[in-house]
Amino acid sequence: MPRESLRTLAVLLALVFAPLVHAADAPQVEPCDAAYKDGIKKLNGIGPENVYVVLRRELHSGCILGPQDSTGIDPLVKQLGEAKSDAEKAELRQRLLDRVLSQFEGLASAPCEDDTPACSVDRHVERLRQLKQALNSGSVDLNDKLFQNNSWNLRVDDGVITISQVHLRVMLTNECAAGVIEKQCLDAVNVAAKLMRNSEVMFQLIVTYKQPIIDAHAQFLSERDKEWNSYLNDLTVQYPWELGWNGRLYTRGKDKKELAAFPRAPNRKWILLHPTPGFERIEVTNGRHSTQAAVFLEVVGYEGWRWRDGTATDRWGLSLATSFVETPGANAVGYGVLIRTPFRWLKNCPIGIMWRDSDLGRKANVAFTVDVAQLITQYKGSDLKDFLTPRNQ
Amino acid sequence: MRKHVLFFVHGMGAYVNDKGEPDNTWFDDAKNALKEQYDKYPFVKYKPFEDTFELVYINYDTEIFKLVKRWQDESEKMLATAIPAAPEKKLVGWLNNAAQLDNNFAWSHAACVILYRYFPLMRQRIKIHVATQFHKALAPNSDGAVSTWSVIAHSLGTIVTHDVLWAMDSSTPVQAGISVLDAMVPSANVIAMLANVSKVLETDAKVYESVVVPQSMVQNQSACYNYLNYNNEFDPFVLPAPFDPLAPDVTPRVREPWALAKANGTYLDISIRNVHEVNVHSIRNYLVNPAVHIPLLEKLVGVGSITKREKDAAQEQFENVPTAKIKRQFDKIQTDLRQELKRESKESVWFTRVGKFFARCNQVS
Repeated sequence: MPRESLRTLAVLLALVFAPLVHAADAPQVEPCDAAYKDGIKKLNGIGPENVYVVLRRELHSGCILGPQDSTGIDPLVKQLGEAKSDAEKAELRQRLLDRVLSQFEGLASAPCEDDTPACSVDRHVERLRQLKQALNSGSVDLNDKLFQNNSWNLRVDDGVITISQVHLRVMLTNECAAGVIEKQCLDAVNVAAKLMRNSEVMFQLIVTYKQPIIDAHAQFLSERDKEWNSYLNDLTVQYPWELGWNGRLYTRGKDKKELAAFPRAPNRKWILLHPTPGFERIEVTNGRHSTQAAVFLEVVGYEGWRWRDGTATDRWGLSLATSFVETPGANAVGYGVLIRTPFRWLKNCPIGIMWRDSDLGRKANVAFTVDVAQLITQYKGSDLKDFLTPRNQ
Repeated sequence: MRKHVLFFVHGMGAYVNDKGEPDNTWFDDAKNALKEQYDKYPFVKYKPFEDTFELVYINYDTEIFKLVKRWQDESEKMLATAIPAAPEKKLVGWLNNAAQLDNNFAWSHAACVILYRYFPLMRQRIKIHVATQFHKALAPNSDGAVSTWSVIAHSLGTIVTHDVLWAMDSSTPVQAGISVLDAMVPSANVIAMLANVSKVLETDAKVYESVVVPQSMVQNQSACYNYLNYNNEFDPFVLPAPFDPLAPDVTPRVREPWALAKANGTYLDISIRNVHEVNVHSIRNYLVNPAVHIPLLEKLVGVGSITKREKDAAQEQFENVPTAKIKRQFDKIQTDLRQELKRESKESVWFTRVGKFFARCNQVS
């Protein structure tokens, strides 16, 4: 068959089957008509001022994007949420907008400012068309009112849709003044259900545009969370006076606005009067050494590091410290320096040198501390007192 | 589609178990207290509570517990070293019951307030921890995006909520220039602050001038449509600096938008004086009062969900002090703390007052 004839056949087939393909997109009966009447039967004493509440409870769980919603809009919203490619999303957005607009076909509509159904429909449809136009033009400005979340969502308490200045509660109260099952009221309920459904759908539609931003925000918060968690829970514990002092330095020179937002965790800290249990290798007699339990006090020190994926790396620190040891023939107090290193296995355990006067003269002894928090985890179940007590005592 | 996401944010006190995991006792009690009121009104309960709300518990006490537990562990181990005479032990000895949860007001209640108010590093930790919980609950999932959400915050949770939402609604970490909240959700439907201490504990962001205000005040910028402020006149926690943006000493520039919000019903300032529990500060003592739960439910479910007749009946049947026993107990506390319960804006006095109040509550209950 010549190529020209094939093309003609394809066009003919498309024309024949197109109405079937889009049959689901055709306007349908408003499912909330029945749900509303059912609700009225079940509840006693409903007045015009309660109609909005009766209808609103259908949202998400009844005839408005719930199990009783037969408009076929809800599955499209779900498909849009699950769509992966941009082309698929664009196609679904178009279908969704067409379907939403088709809901209003045949409804009374008039350009005016009041809260009647006709005026409300006109304003809302006009905004829907503007949104469709913006999407078709391909220039989506997420800061434009058309793409702001507050524009489209329905305010629960009073039924306001900001973008089209629709006041559903006011509209329903007015239209149902003559009776909650009068035709005027039922017509208004029909319109209100469509407006409610469509404002929610448009909200869902514009949020899909912002998904990459939402993901980036999640990443941002996660990194900040890791950093702060690491700062306070992984690095060497800061005693209250250290936390207070470092907090003071952290806020100094920083703008209040920056502090009120989500600033990065510090990449340095001061160590002040920080006591730590540890050990000191002491020469007890000429040539003989013994490892003695010690209590170090880091009088003043400083530590810095770099943040990488929420983890502190390249940690270096130095502090001036005293060491308290009870051993015969030596002064109880020694003086020296402790160094924090970036080596993983020495994460929170500084090492250093302590000078101590003894019967053998002034000696330089190796000192090493044990981060207690880590020690507890590592030696859970064992007697820490025994662990810290040298065997020869 | 997502339900109305309703957050509960706890106040001061212990909200973890002895392993440091979140303890749901307060959350369960708070949601039950709300549900009890929800189920009283026919139009409201026609849609069951569980079908209406997706409840989320925000817990930040886990972070406070982690820190004080580390202090306690360090202190205990220092005290356990084999050198009894080491002078360094005196430095940390006072920290050795920091993480004890029972009958430990200084650490379980006062410490969390002090750590949040006076320790900016801890405040940042709590803020980011809470923000990630909010973000996780509000981000779109397979059921879609969240179109309606609200917050009920209590006591210390009021300032935590304020600070976190301020940061989330002001931070624009990506180039698009859209804030963390604005990217995924509309403004919160309701922010209900029960026992609102956000003014007395405010720090970096000023609570009267922030974005956590009713929508009409900062169009398209504010974090909520409705701001409900609740205080109990007998609650010693809110006495020193009640949240009152309409007070005469507030500058007109700040006061006028709040006055406008009050006039159009988006800012409700409700003061109550009921004593249904000796601990008048408890969230249940607030929620049981129709003056508290009726406007809250109307904002959460929709205006018109409670009829005028139901409102009148609820108010009429409600007794501020339901039993003579509670009245006796509470009167005794009031007499004992007459001096402390005077309005006093000094924070040091405030800490003394709440400490003594809790101690008396424990004694009589």
